[in-house]
Amino acid sequence: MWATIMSIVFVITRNSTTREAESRYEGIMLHANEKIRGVLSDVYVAAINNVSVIESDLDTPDKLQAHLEQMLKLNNYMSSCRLIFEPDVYPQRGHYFEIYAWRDSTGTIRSKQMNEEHPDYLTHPWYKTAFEMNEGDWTPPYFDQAASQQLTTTYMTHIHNQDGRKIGMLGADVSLEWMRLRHKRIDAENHERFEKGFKEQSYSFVIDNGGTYLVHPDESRILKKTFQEIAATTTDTIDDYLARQMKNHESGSCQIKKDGVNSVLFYSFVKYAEWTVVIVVPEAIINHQGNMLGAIILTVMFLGLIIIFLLCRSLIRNIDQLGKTTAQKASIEQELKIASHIQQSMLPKKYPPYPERPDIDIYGEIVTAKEVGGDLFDYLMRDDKLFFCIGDVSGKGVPAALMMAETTSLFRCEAMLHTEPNRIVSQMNKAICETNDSYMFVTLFLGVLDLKTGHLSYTNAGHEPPMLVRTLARFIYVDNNIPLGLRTDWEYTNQEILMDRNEILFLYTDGYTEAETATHEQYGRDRICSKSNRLAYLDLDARQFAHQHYETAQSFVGDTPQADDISLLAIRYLGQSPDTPYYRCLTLGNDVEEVIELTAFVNSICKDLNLDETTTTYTTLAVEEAVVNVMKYAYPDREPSHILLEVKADDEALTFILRDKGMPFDATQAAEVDVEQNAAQRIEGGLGIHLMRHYMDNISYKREENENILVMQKLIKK
Amino acid sequence: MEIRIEKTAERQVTLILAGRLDTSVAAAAEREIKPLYDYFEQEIVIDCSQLEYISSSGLRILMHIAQQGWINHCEIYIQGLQPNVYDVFKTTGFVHLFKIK
Repeated sequence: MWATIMSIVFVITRNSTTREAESRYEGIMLHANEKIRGVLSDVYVAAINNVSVIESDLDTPDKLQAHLEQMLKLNNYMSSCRLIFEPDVYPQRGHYFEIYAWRDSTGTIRSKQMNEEHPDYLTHPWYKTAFEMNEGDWTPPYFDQAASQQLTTTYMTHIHNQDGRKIGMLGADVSLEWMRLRHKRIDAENHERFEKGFKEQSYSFVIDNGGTYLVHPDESRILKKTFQEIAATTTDTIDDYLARQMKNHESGSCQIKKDGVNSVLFYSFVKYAEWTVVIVVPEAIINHQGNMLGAIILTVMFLGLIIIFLLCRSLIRNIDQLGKTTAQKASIEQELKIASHIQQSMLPKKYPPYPERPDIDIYGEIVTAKEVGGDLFDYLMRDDKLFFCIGDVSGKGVPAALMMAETTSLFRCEAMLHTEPNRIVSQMNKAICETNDSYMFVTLFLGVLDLKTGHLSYTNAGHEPPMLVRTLARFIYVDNNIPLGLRTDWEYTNQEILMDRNEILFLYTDGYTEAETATHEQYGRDRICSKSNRLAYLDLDARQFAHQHYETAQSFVGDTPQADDISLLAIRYLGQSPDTPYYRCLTLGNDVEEVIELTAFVNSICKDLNLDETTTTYTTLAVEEAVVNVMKYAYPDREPSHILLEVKADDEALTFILRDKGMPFDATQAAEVDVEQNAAQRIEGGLGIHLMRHYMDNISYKREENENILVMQKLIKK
Repeated sequence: MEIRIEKTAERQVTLILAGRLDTSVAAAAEREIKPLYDYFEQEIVIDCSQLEYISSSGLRILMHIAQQGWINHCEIYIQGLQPNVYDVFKTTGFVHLFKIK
């Protein structure tokens, strides 16, 4: 199909271009024709006009010479002119009378009477023939041997006397030299403009009515040969037909083999002169441009075709690719779904996880954002210790999910080997650093809760601080350890708190604190804290607690899509088994506000032990004084730290063990205050210690492993 | 913890302390009794009938009142001490700092 289209285009292009070339040559030829006709008609008109002037001045022959000069002067193409009279028209001038005017080689117009010098003109056939005719006409061209030595044609017209008798002739000569030069120029121009580089080139010639060459590149033919003679020498008959056509004053064009070359011959009949102008153009030239253009168009089309083909091919390939990509994407999405599923399945799912244990209640939940995320939490039980962690891998997507999986399995592995949280975290950190080429990191909070005592040791590696919820909710203090995966040699620190029965440790990831409303307001720790405070009084189990938190956050953000995973983990410690000796504990922040907690705590113990109100008050007072002293003296700069209070009771005594990691401070060594002094002399210090000593039965102090340990004993009188 | 200051007679002003005056409320209580320091040559009655508990932080506030009252030529009485609180006053010698009604 393409071949057909291309051939049609090629043929159309070639034909139209060929026609264009033909009309170009036709134009050149017609122009030449017009020029010849114009020149000849100018001369003819001049001659006709002058006839009447001459005829009116026939009586004064002396004026005639001036008339001729004038006529010549006004006509640039007229090379010369003559006035020839029949014998004895002017007897006083002689038998003959002829006036001749011409341009000399400098262009000056000159004239003379030729009477005696041109004796036999009347007998010349050109004159006789012309004179015999009734109208003026052009003589066949001839070589003007007398004057210009150039090919010349003359318009001969009759001069009549007043009686209307023909008495002579006016001859206006036109040198055909300009025509020769003009055709030479036309040919040269054609060669230059259209035919460069061609072996065969166009040429033009002019023949007269009889077929005689007037202008021809081969000058030997001029006036010597006729078209018919040349045509007769060739074998084909087309040129003979052409000769006839020209003789019949036809114009047109024809394809012939001329001088052995396939050519197109354009011929045009020139009115008045009855000549024919001919241009012979080799077909190669006529077709050249068409061929060139056709070839160019074909080339362009072919190139276009190739380009289209290539485009189509790449398009098809792209479509294929797109199909494949879509399929791949679908399969990746499917895989992501599976990955997300696997990830979810790596998280603990069974709640309650340890139904056989009365001392622990755990509930954890990850609400994943759109993508697979890097949140994780996990826990395991070993030797009556709960190992747990919550973490967040930087970034999202599959890399985060893989890192999460790695972290989880590292936790499971290391928690089986070590008991100290900082040791577990350090081991995990080393393993992650070794394989972490993509500079991802994991924030992690890892705790080990001794279920026998409620003693929780923990290491926080750049994670959000968990919240300890009892009657009040407080964020626990965490050391500023860097996340896992950043520095292999980082020394992670251990911290510890004590969890009393029914206290909840609430852990979460930054997806929770940073949950945003549409106006980019973050949920924030303050809201978490106040929500926890409200929930603290409700005595909720771990599942309800976590769930209430999540629902509050949900109603806060509204319809805003979740940007990050939200992980919540609530660990509720339910206390030791009932058959162990009475034991309670309290973790206090270094803040006098926490005295409220302390009061509630001591009161609840006293209530448990059925102690009377007075004992309760004095015990509370002594413990408060002890704790406030620690806050005041062990932490003079009020640095954040936990103050741990353990309480043991048996039938005889209630024992308080107060521990802190502040500056060494021994309350037992403080000087006794003089209670007998009057107000003006009293100093403020020492009152608390005095009360503490007074209301406690035994007080002892020791410093162990950077800890102040104050043991106070209250004897119980039952 | 509740703290009120009332003008109870021409030359008498009464400070009513109610609830638990422990360390956690001491700072707030310290601020609230400040107006008391503006009375000169008056009888200041500290009504402790509703005071359930006092720790050294609370005692310290009372000591400030006593010291400032001495400067302001005020006579300070304490009335209505409950037994447990009275015991603390006794223990710390505060019974000597105030006139107990």
